[in-house]
Amino acid sequence: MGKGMVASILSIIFAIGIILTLLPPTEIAALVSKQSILLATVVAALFGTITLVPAFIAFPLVGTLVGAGVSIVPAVSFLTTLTMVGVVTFPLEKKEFGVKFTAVRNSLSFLFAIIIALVMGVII
Amino acid sequence: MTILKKIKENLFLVAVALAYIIMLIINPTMGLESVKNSGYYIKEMLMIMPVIFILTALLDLWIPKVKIMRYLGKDAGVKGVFLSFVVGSISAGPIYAAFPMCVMLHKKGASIRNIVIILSSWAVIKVPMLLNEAKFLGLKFMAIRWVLSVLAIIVFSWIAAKIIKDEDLPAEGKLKSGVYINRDACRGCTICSKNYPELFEMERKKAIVKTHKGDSLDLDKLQEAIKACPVTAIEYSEDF
Repeated sequence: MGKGMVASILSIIFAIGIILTLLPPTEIAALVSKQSILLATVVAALFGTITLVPAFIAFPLVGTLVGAGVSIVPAVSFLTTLTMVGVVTFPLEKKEFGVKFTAVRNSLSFLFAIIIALVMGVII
Repeated sequence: MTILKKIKENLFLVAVALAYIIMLIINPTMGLESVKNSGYYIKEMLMIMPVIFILTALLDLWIPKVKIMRYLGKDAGVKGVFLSFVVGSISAGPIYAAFPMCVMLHKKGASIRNIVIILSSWAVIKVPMLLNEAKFLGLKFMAIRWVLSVLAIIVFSWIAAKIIKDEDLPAEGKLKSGVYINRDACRGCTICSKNYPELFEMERKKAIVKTHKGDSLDLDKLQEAIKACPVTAIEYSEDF
């Protein structure tokens, strides 16, 4: 577990480093604000679904993005699907729980991630 | 599968390293900027990790998880829902670390709804992580997201239990008699082989059960080993 995990976490961090240089947070914020909030939220949720970033990196990352002006709503949907829905972990989950359980749990989580995000946008 | 996963992980690592080399050659300023960006996240990670580890260990110590798990059946009702939240939110590790534990709980009678709650709260409302969230996104943000997530999980676990039946989960018959190690879950931490070397040994970085006579088991030692396993990969059933 040890060595492999450290290597994969470090490669994720360095990938984030490169992405943020090529696409600075302020530009991401500008890009997001041009879209409709619903579209931005769904796209952010999709990003969260396909990526596997550990939560302790995700929070400072989202902190940076929100600090640069990215709206809270897509930020929340990204955070929620990031940890709760997983394309990468789907095969593993399917093997343990079966297709139906996995499909239902992941789609419900995705749907509610967007609902949580939209409600948060109203409250904050 | 593990070999494929290894290659895939390393592929990503190689790709990232290549990207840095190319960038440092073409545009050194941007390359250095990328390294600086990454450095920030590494620093933040190193600062928060010890806190998370300590908190997780303390929660594990204070809350008797094993005792709680007995009360997660279909008739547990509100109490089962509450306890499932507790189990999910005090645990550490990514969501896939929760899969084998939840399968075991289901075999022992935990309801679909409670399993969905454990998995979901494991993912989004881990207590040690809340600190991290509050630090970077503010206390108010964290609190509101926490409340909304709990509400959402209560609702969609109920929906999930309406759609999914117990029979939809596979491997009901897979429960073998005796000691069994879930090799997909095993992380090769060697705790079991150190605790109970007469029964467990390591083979290709995973724990295996040595051949043994059924009546030669030291049940106390075995229970200790089962409890100590960080990913709950050891199972034991005395029936059959």
